[in-house]
Amino acid sequence: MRTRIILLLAAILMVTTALPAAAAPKPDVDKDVELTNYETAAIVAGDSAWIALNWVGGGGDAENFQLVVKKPDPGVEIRYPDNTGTYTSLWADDMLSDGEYDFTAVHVTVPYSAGSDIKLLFTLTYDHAGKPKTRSFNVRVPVVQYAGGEDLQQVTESLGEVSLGESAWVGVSYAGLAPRLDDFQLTVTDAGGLPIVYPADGSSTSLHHNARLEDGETDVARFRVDAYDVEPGTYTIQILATYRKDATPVELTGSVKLVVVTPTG
Amino acid sequence: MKRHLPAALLTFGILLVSACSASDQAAGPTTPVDNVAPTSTTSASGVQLAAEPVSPPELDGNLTGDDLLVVIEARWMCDVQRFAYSDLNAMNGALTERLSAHGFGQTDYDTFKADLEIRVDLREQVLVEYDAYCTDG
Repeated sequence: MRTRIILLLAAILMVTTALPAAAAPKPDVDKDVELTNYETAAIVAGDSAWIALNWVGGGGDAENFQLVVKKPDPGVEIRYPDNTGTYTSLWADDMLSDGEYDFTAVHVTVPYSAGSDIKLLFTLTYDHAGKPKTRSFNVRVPVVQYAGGEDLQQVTESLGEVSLGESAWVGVSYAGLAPRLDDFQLTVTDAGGLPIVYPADGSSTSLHHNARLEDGETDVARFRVDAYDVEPGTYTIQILATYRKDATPVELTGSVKLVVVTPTG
Repeated sequence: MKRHLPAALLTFGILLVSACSASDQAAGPTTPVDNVAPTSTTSASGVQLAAEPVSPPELDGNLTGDDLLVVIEARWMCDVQRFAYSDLNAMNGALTERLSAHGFGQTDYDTFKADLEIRVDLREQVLVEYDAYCTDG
């Protein structure tokens, strides 16, 4: 049984959901299958890992669900689960029902030479209402550099653009490298004159899901930038991440770029 | 979700896959690995890769049965995409850990997933819980 409320809920959900970082879902006219994360967990350069892409059905069953990566960049290696071999499918089976969540797992090897994030072009094929369909999705895989002894690494370098006269929630993603970091808090130490607001009008912000960052986890800390009465241009925002490693408090400084642009028209 | 293999074959598959702990099985049209202990490996770069979240998220202690599985399912679907896993057994082990922490086994989960296939209300509950837990902002 399929109901209109499921379709509506799925549509609303997909419009409002973006994880784990600030990457917004691309416009997508087909709503029978939706990708919920256009950005994956981070991978260390020179490393390899299984990452998950999460899907939700939005209009009837998508059967024979098969996903492949097309022409990865040189040095980037892709592998699929042994039992599917040349593609990956959903975790539970090969059909995504209306209103159902399921994910696909892909093994990605990132070359040591990778100096920045990698983009993967996924091609999805499935049967919908008896007709074969093909869709393409661009997904960003954040790449972090491991220098040894680090507990975590700042993933986000640029916060993108904010229009003059507007406010926007922006996010700085962090990838955990140590087993468990607690009480994560982020504060902006110098925004170059940009007004900064934290969630609940607090004095700092934490990670979106919880204040703990674990190894292999990527999570995002958000704050709001009010681009009122400021000069257009590129701002370097100084940030301070604090956390507790076991009983030891630790601090990590960093910075992100943000561009205030003059709205056109 | 529809099951494509008879129960006996699924059972055999579980045993076979469990015996091959180093291989990357699971995603796709076969049953997930059952009772696989979480693993943790060190990568070529020396980074300790995630085997699983260290502790499952705390849930409302008053929830039981399907209501509890709804929350577990929604949060698992959200959390799995935030982690990089050393192997698929680790990925499956993360789910197993969450289930066992609340008194469920793989069979309970398989039954729940089968119910999701036929029960719109369950899927709606997962959607709502996923939205509440995972939606940006």
